[in-house]
Amino acid sequence: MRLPRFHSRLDKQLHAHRAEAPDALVASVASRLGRHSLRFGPQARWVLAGAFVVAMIGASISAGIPGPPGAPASPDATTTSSASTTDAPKPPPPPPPGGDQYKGKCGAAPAKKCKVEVDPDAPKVKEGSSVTLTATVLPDHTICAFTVNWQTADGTGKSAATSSDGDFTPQGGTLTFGPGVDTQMFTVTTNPDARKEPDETFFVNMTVTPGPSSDCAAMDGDDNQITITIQNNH
Amino acid sequence: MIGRRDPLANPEPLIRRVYSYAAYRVGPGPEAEDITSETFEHALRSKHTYDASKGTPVAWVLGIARNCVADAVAARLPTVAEPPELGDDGRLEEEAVERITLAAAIASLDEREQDLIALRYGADLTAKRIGEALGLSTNAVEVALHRALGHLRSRLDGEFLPSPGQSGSEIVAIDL
Repeated sequence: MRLPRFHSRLDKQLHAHRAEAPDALVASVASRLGRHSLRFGPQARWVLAGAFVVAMIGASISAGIPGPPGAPASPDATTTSSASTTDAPKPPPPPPPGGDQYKGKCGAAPAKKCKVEVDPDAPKVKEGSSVTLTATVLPDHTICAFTVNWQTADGTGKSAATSSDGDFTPQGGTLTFGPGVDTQMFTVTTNPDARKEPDETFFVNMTVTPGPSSDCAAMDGDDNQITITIQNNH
Repeated sequence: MIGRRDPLANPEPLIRRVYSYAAYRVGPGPEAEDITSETFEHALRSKHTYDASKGTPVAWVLGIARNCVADAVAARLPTVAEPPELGDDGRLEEEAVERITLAAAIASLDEREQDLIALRYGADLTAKRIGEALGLSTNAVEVALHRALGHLRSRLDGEFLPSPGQSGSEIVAIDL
């Protein structure tokens, strides 16, 4: 790219304006990454869950309990399967060969529900403060881009739209997920007040907006409504 | 893992770039360090979604950093800039004023232009890599960056840089 010369000094100044990361920070973050890489990530959890089911089926067969291949043959195995949020352990989708690997699959896939987890799932916040929530979509639901809308709603705590001394201002936004982006954060703010009152609650409702290239029809699980508790300051 | 490759396999250069990018956006110091840490917390959680065919690890991790910076900026309370600490050394004083003037001029640009400049000069990304991070073509990035520099130049005009008229329309190459 070619720029007029009067930019050249500016270019140098902008380069000089760059701040280098402190070595201690680099070492600290790198160390944490190294430590955490040993933790069980979502993929490892799938593998472990699958291995467990296989082991259970194997144990059933060796114990002489009949059952169709692949089906849990004991009550324990059934419990294990249902405990993993109705999804049977399965491997991640195989990468199609070359090109835009998601092309075709997004439009062709039947609409399904997406699992989005919000953390913390029962946030508490002081009056006048805000809380940042992290929404994470499970790996096999990030194949196609889709958006999740969030919107506050009244509980025992009322918004400024429905009460003259509202506990919070109506808030909302859109979170976009897709390949490479499975985590989004958003912040909900409450209003201060000087009253002595019990803790109050209000909601954040999460809804999926299916797009033309989205294979996600709706949110699955219990995180489509988050209850926020406003703790009284007085 | 979708990407069939660990994007955090060689984290140190990524950490340095993310910090420099964050420092460009929010200023060097604890806030930029927090953003850097937060970025890699998120990167660690979502690294299984990284797809090497969609971009390089640095573009991917800076995409996360951009969200973290945006949240940090949105959560900020209005602050009053502290005046520079001026010492006896005239050059130090001049540099401090230059830095503060430059930072103020960058901060006066719109979010998108600030982001572009931080990606270019903070994260030290080429236009191609910026395009990967933003989902834009290289050409679109170059044009937008050129425009952002023009706006920045106009903000600084009369402060401490020579005016455009001093060097006419002579063109020099800037490696992007």
